[in-house]
Amino acid sequence: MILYPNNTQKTFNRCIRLVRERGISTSAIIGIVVVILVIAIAGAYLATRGGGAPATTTASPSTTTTAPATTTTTTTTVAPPKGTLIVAMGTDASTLDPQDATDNPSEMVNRIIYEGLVEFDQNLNIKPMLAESWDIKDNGTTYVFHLRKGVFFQDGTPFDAYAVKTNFDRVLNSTLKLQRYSLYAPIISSVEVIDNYTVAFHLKMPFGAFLNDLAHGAGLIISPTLINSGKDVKTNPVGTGPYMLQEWVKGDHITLVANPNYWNKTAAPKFEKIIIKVVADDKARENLLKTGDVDLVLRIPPVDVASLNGTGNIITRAYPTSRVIYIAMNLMNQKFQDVRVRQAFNYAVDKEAIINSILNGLGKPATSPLASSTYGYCYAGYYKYNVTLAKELLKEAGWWDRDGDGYVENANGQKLEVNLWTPQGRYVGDYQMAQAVQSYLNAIGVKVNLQVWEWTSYLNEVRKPYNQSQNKELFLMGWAPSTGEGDWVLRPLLASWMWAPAGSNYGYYNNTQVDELIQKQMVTLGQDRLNAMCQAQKIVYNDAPWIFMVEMYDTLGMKSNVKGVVYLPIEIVMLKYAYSG
Amino acid sequence: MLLIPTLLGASIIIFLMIHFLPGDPAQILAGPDATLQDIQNMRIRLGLDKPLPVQYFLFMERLLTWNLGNSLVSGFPITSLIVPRFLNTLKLALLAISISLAIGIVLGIVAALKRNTTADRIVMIFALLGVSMPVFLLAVLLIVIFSIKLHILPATVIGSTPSIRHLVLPSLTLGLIGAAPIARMTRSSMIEALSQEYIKTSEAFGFSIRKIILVHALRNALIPVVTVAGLNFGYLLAGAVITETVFAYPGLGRLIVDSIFARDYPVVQFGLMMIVALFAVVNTVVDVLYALINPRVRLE
Repeated sequence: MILYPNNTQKTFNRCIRLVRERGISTSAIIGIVVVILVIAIAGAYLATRGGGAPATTTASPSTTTTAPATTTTTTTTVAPPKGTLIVAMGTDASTLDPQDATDNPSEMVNRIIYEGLVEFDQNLNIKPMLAESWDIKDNGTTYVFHLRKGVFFQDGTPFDAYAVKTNFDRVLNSTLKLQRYSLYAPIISSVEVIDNYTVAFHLKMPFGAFLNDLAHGAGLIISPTLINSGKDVKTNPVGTGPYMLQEWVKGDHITLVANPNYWNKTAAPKFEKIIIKVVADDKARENLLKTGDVDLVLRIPPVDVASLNGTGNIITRAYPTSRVIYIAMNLMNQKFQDVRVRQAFNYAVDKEAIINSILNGLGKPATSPLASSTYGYCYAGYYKYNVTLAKELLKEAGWWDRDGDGYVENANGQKLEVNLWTPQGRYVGDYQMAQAVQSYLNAIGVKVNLQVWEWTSYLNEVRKPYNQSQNKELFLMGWAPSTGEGDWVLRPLLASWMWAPAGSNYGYYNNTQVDELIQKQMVTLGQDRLNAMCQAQKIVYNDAPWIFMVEMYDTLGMKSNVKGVVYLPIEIVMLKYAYSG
Repeated sequence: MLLIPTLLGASIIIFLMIHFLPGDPAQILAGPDATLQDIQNMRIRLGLDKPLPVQYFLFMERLLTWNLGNSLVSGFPITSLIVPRFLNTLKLALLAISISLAIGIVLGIVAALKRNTTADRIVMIFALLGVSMPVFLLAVLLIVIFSIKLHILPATVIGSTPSIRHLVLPSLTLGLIGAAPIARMTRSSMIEALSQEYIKTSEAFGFSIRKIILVHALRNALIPVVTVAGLNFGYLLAGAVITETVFAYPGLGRLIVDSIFARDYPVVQFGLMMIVALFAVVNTVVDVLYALINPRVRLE
């Protein structure tokens, strides 16, 4: 064609003419396309009405019809479970072996399948579950539990004192290398069967948070038959709970079915099935609630919480959690030696503005290393936003703008320049909060270099020992104690023997007074323990090893007919009590 | 037979890249409360304490014997993770590429025959939109229209394995986006083919216009189209991560991305190896197709 350009054009024109003459019109061809499309869509839709439809529509009848009104009568008849509850969460469970689980999604599913001796209520108070009552003896070193009778595991095994012993012998067996070994091994010395329905825990020392450790997700009781069978617990869970595992398609969904023989007739399962679907993207989860594909969605972005509430049949809820977001300082670094500098950083940041603009009001300024919903919290102080005071404190510490360039310098003419590290997407608004802190510190003359990390690399970096952490200066972290009480904040984060990498004291905080108080609160009970924890919080707050940021809220979105969902401040949604009404 | 060295090279690159990523799977698995001892125990449990070359040879051995072992993170057998995800991805990719080809080729022919008319411009605007529109935007638009407003199609798969109904929106998203480059390619190569001398000859023989366009011109115009479609299909098989994320579709792409974030080394390694192998196969098939479409192309 390149050789005969003139002919080419002629040929082409003739071809076009042919098309016109012989009558294949534009509209006919466009028509064909439209027809193909319509047929494809309609065909796909019609062809699958039979097969595909039930999977997605079972939810609606279940959630719109109410259960027969048997609950109002005094008879013991229980409404049979009906319908399916479909829940969307961001991350899949990693293991259904409670003694090996360290993540919230796993614990959330485990708390449906299994039950523990005691359980948290929504205010993190301890209430009886498989144990009806307990006595504390020998100055708090022995706990005797009186167990509930007539309870059976989902495989038919009766629940008794031997089951409890089998469970704790398993987690305390160091050769199994279970993840929750380190939670119990320092505390429990042995578990003794007194009779079929009485079991005693002998502790190595009095331990104030022991009942919380039993209410912890790791204290859920596994069927001893399963343990002795040698089968893998993580994929074959058997507990005493109201729902049992039916199917787990890793990374996609977990299907639980009602346990027909559940012991507690007043809290019998209300749904035939609970399907927990993994939907990683926040916006996608929200969309599925709007389309009606799911009934309950975990973690709605704060910006949408208000607008979504009340649209159609959707309601949203925000709950205070025990998670505190803080920006730790590397205290081995010369720049943070002076407490006045650390306090100046705290005064420089407007926590309330951050909460209002970034978290849409869903948060509270942190007034202690503990969140106010955590057991043992006491108000330790509040570095209310005050730029003047912040600048004064810096000046007292020898930092002021000596050369008029807008940044503070010390006597040697060195600028105060710090690195600020943050993950992105790990906590709600984490990166935006770090950006805000960067500009707040800029306003008092501190130059901040912001660096964003991918979570796994970040964790690896902040966990390094102090002699490998020269560039680590300011870094954003969040902590929620899985036991719901203060020991599990103060000890791992602030005790000097928990310096990274041994524990989570990533900023290398070291105060002998605080160390002593932490040890004291471990071995005391009641008011003495609370006093020790409170004193420790106040000292830490004044030492300002962190920029104390915010207590986070968590959010749920659900259809208005989903009832009975209990939210625990340790960031756990209790789905087992849910019903449709 | 470049296949074997390609795969071998890919295996080394994949292995090194994932292992050189900063971050330690043992640390993530051990959780935030873990002590140093917990992390070390976990490392031994996962076999990560062995030297890298040993780990590489173990990986190759498991790959060659198709004894993939278990995921580091979930402990599930890797075949049970990858195979169903792959089948889901295959279904989606096949449907999407069919939509792309059907729409793209037809529109391309229309545009070529009606060059410089309104019809041509409409098609080219559509193609421009398709090439420049981000896939997540189209996905969300389709969800808003068909799932939120009209309530006729589901926006995700819940429970059972995906049926055609669940596939409509994701495959339409990928299919429409993929149709755009095919339409452009068909248009330009059709125009070129229609300008050839043999079209005049065919016309002189008195063949019907349908036969001239669909057999003689199209067949010659198809080579570059098949190349574009083949590449597109390869990418679809590698997992359309963004589309899968928006529709929460259980495909291979999401599995691999999730596994990278969790540093689940074996799942990433075997998943990527599978994709590399498939890509190589698709390329070979495309080469064979060239010869089928145009016998002048010889397979050496």
